[in-house]
Amino acid sequence: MTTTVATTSIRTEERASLLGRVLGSPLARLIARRILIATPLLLAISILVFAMLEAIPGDPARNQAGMDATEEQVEAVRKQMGLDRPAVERYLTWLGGFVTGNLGRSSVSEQPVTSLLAERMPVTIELVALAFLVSLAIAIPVALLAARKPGGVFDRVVMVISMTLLAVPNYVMALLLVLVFAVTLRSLPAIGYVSLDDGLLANLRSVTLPVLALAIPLACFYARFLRGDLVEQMNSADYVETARAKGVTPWKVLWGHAFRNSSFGLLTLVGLNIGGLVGGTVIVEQIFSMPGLGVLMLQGVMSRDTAVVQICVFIFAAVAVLANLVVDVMYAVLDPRIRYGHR
Amino acid sequence: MAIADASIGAALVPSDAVSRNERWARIRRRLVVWVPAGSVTFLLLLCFVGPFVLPLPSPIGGSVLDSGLPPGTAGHPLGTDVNGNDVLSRLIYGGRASLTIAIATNVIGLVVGGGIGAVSGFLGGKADTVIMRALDVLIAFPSLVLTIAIAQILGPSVPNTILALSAFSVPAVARIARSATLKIANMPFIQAAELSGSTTWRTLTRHVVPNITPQMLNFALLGMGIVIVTEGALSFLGMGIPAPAPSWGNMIFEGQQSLSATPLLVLWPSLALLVTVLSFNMLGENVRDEMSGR
Amino acid sequence: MKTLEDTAVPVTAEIHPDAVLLVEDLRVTFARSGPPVHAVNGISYQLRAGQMLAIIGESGSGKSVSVRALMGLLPPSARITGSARLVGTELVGLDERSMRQIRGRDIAMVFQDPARSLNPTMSVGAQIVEAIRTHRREVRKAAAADRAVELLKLVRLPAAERRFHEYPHQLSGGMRQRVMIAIALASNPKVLIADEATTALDVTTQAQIMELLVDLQQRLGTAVVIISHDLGLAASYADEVLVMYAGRIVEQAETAALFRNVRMPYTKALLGAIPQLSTPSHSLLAVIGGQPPDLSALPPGCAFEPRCPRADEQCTVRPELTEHEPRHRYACWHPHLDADRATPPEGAVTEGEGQS
Ligand SMILES: Nc1ncnc2c1ncn2[C@@H]1O[C@H](COP(=O)(O)OP(=O)(O)O)[C@@H](O)[C@H]1O
Ligand SMILES: [Mg+2]
Repeated sequence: MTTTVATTSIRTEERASLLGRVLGSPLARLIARRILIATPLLLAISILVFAMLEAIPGDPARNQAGMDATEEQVEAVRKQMGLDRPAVERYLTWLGGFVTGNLGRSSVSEQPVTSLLAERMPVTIELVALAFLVSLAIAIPVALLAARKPGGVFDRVVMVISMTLLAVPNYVMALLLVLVFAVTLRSLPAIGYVSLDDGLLANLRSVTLPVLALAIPLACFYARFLRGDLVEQMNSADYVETARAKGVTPWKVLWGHAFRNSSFGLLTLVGLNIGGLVGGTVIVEQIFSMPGLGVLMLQGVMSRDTAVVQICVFIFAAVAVLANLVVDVMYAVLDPRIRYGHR
Repeated sequence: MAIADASIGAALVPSDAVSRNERWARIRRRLVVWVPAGSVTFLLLLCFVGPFVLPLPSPIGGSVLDSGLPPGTAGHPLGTDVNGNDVLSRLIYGGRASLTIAIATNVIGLVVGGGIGAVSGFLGGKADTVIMRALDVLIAFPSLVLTIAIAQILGPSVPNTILALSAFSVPAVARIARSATLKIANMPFIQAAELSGSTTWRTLTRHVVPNITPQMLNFALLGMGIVIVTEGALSFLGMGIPAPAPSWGNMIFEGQQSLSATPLLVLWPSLALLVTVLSFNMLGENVRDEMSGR
Repeated sequence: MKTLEDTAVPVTAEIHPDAVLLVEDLRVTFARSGPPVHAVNGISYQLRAGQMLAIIGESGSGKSVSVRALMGLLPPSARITGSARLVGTELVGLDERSMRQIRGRDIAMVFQDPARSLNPTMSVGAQIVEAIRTHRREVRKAAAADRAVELLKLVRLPAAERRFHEYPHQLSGGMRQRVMIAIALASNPKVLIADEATTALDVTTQAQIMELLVDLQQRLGTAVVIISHDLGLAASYADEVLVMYAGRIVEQAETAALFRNVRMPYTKALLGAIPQLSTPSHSLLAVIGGQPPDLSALPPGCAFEPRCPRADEQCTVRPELTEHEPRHRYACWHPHLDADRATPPEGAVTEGEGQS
């Protein structure tokens, strides 16, 4: 039999045509189509954010000039801030600035908004990324173990606990964690963020509680979803029956076959959640005094710092849109059914 | 598909549904429905009827002299908060605010969102595309961020909180209503109604709406928890129900400031929130399972 | 070409020296809330190496359950009694661990719906390799891949090397079923069961898959059990036919003999159902009317009696499966005797004609 040779030569052939395939591939078309849909959506979002900020009562110029400024001083500030120009013009200016990376200055700290973002975004990204990792690291093994014996003791305990924890809002979870780990056990800091520059361990210690506050409800959600999907696959999927008929062990059927299929649904769910999770960081960052995007937005809202709020709110919405785009594309890359242009 | 082997699916259902645990399983199924249903009823009664029939002290305007009384004090079964207000009373009045807001938000979501979704789905075409694209813009926002922005425009108050929360309940319900309508719209009886000369409006109100209503109600039930949690967050951030009026969210916020000294002030409203959300979630899940015929 | 002499001996009393599978008084009951479901009610047969046996019957007659019981693929609610010996190993009551080693290695199964029986997220090759390595862990991946390609060639899948890397959805229904057969053959099983393996396919593909099975059976000496509700299919390919109704064997004979003399009215009705290939062919109701029996409340007499055109009082006592004629057994008080001879369906095997 010379099939080894034959199969390798096919692989080389495949590689040679890879570039051609990628450019004209359904995947490339899919990405293009998704971007085509996302762009106007992002534009509409930015317009809506702009309009909402316009509608917030109060005069930013007067705010900026101070309580006891004269009418002329306020007018001067207004002119300086460009607020005397029509709204459409100001929006287009903002958009132009956004494209060229000039987002104006914070009216509170006078810092360029871009440098504020550069400071704050890594914190939020770290929180969100760790929260996802932790939640999946908990949810996947728990769901697999629970689905191994549906209706068994472990399964029931997991279902009850996850149902309960799922009903705990993240701000309550945050306070409970503080109560237990910071107040009672005094083992972890309650507030404050330690930058990575000051050491990985200190950094991780400082984000442990906020990450857990975000990750625990999420883990419950994923565990329940995954467990349900796994049990469904194990009970009724024909390919599971085929695997059993091959003599594959139940555990291998579960993770090698059912989980493989369920993971696509899980991936979609994660994508849909990213927006919500990033939104959820607002309140958790506030509780733990994390200098992230959420706190930046809240401070901006309180102090009528339009330039800051505008970009923060836009980023929150854009992340949700882009996350869905990325998941669609990842799905296409990972799922052979879509990868090869079917469906 | 499974032409001759419809039994394969059934053949793989785990057996403990049929074992001797059957009776216990049936009792458990019933408990799982009745416990949350009873708990929701109890909460509604407590928060809406309680203030009229229970000898509750006022939830606001307490005296600093009474501040920080421990649970079990005469007249204050759960003690008082830093401002000397009765905690139990604040829990009940706060619950009334939370539930009022949640119910109102969901009703608005059902009526407005359901209406938009049904009309959009039923009309189809350009109108549908425009409406759905517009809703996509709202749906893109994380719910808390959107409500914060709108609450800022409107200012803190109960009606404004309801409006702010509706900004995400309306588009969410509209999406569900639309997909439900699309399913219904292709069914023979709708087409029969159209053919027999029923006006669009009539078909919509007589046939489409009654058919999508159960699904909408069920979605709203699952939405109760989300609205209650988001309202709590808004009040926690001081953008919802303005103090000193109580809400679970602002009670948690106030309690947080003395978390290490009097953790109970955080735990009570947290527990109230947990029980309420859990009850609605369980009820919603059960209704959904029931409807999907499990 | 086969002669009558080397086709099956459908009598369990005398055990054929070549018998690979001996089923005796197999019963399967499903426990549930309410009265139990008696899906299989005492069936016996034997299967020889290189033989093709067809189990035929209306939907719900217990065909699938009877073979799933052999492979331990029934849910725990199933109570299995009787005996089923696979080259000496008793399968009934075998613990799950030992059963798992036999499953796929000594006895393999091909299912009805090839579109859903393959894992959509795994390449065809990976699924065959898994089948190979499940029972022979010492086989290296590369060697298993070679063997998988070999198997794909064996089942005559065109461009086997390329298909190895493809995913199920890239294949046609017939090709998928060939892959399923390749998976089933991965460990050279002694018995291959094809449960409605061609039902979901179009007529042309159906014939190709059946011919492949016949070819494999003859080349590899594998014993094949085909399960179908289509008597015509059995007529064209099987050596022996077993007709089931309500979990019992009601007629059993060599294919040629059976078509020369269909005795049991139920078999006759199945035969009548054949011409309408366009309609779902298991809709026997259209031909004889009535409902299939309630398996949780079987009548004491012949289970077919309520629907049988020839039934009378005698049928309220159950007829035993008896060898009324040489190598032809049936359970009926009022068989169609020679006066009403059956016309074999198109493509049916007639005397002296074999199949290849
Ligand atoms: N897990 C199960 N629980 C209860 N009854 C079952 C189960 N599996 C199959 N049955 C019943 O057993 C009977 C025979 O089914 P089956 O062997 O699949 O029929 P077929 O001859 O069409 O293959 C059917 O009436 C079916 O309802
Ligand atoms: Mg079957």
